[in-house]
Amino acid sequence: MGVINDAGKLVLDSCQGAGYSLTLLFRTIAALPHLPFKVRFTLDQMFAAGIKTIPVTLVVAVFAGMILSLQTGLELQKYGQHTLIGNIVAISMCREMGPFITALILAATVGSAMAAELGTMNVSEEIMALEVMSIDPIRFLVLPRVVALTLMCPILTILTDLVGIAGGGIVATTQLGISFPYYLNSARESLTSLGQGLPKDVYVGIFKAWIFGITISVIGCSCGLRARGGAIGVGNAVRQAVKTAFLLIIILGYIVTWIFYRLLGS
Amino acid sequence: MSKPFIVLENVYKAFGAKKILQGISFQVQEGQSYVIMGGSGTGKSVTLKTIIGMLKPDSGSVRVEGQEVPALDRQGLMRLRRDMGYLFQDGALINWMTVFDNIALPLRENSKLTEAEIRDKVMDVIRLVELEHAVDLLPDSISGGMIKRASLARALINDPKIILYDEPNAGLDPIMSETINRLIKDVQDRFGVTSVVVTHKRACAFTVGDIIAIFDQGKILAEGPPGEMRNSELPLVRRFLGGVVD
Repeated sequence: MGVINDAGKLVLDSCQGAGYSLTLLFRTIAALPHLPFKVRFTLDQMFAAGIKTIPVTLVVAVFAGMILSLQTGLELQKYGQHTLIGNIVAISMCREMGPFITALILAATVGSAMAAELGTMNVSEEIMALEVMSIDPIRFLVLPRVVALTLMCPILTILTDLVGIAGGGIVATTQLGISFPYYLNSARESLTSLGQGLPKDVYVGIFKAWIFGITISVIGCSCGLRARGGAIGVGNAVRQAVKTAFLLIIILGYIVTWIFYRLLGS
Repeated sequence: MSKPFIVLENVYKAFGAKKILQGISFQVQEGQSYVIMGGSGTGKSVTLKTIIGMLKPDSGSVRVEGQEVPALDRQGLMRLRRDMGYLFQDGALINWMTVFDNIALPLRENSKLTEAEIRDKVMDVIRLVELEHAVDLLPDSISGGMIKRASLARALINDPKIILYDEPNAGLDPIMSETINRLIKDVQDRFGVTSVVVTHKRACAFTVGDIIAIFDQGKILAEGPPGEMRNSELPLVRRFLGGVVD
């Protein structure tokens, strides 16, 4: 009986958490008209969420591009096809790896920080104090955070894409014997082969990053606002925020890919 | 004759199987200071949170300025709370804002005052609580007594008609405790606010209270003016209020 009770409680808690997060998302959207009064807080959050994350994002992106280029290039070399490495790295980075890597970094750093900040404010009654002062915590705390990450995640993803492609180029030049201009040219050609203004591989990647930005920030805020019970409660909120964000990033990533490349055609 | 500003009638509240309030009824007249004392877990803070609409009672009526609080929607609650101030036990100042910004926050968010007008108003209450030297400090870098005074200043900034105090002296040394009591009394005398004060300190109850109520197991065991309560024959009342005033 105990196992059934625990399983039931887990399902119930998960449903409540999902419901709370969705409600939070809708209430944040409804609070958007108040954004002009929160410009300073939003810029502060953009700095914390975006600018401070650039160094780690750059390092991860350059090495991800280098690993991708080396692993794939060595296999292609066996068949004499290693000159395609520019195409492969560019498409992989823009479609999938750029948004995915950026989102994981932001979930681990910014999403967890949001859960910790709001969780600490919650357990020390600061959120309740805001409500008592007739200040809507969603307008005051959640809106700037969600807007900041929703804007910064695509921007950082573009940076990750570019740096990852450049990292791949370093390996292609030094390890695979391909000239850097040739590598760059094949990367550019693979992204613009359909002749569109903004290549599909790029805009789908940016769209994914936008979805991931919303997801990470809403989950981080939601877990923080539901934190209970002192330091342990804040720890649990942070763990829950990172875990849920990671799961949603991978699931939503697949769904967006399926919609754009399967449902709507390649 | 003053009118009842806060009215609780037969209020029940439980958290799961744990019954906290079991039929609480009392009235607070306009301008009156109502002190609630009692052991831990007897429902004192829950009563305050019920009055301000942070908790909904399971049954019973909670009326503030004639409005049935549990029936108010979010907008109604926000309007009502603009007439109320709340002093939290640990201050609950926003930890990443300076003392000045914390006190200015309700005005910046809810009023159309200019920054200069806000500054004047904030400095007035800061002078009242004698915190001029701490305006630019963060809550982390000030003492418990200063946090309480800053929190009181924040509660006063909207010129509230009602202030609810949740253990205003908790964790303070006797001298700072006395300073806080004096401030609360000063605020009542100067601005005529209606107050509900939850405290464990006899000195606080006798300094600021017009009516003192003793809570026991979610019910009001006894209530009355300080002089009457001091002479009560009930053992629990004597344990809380009898003997030497600390």
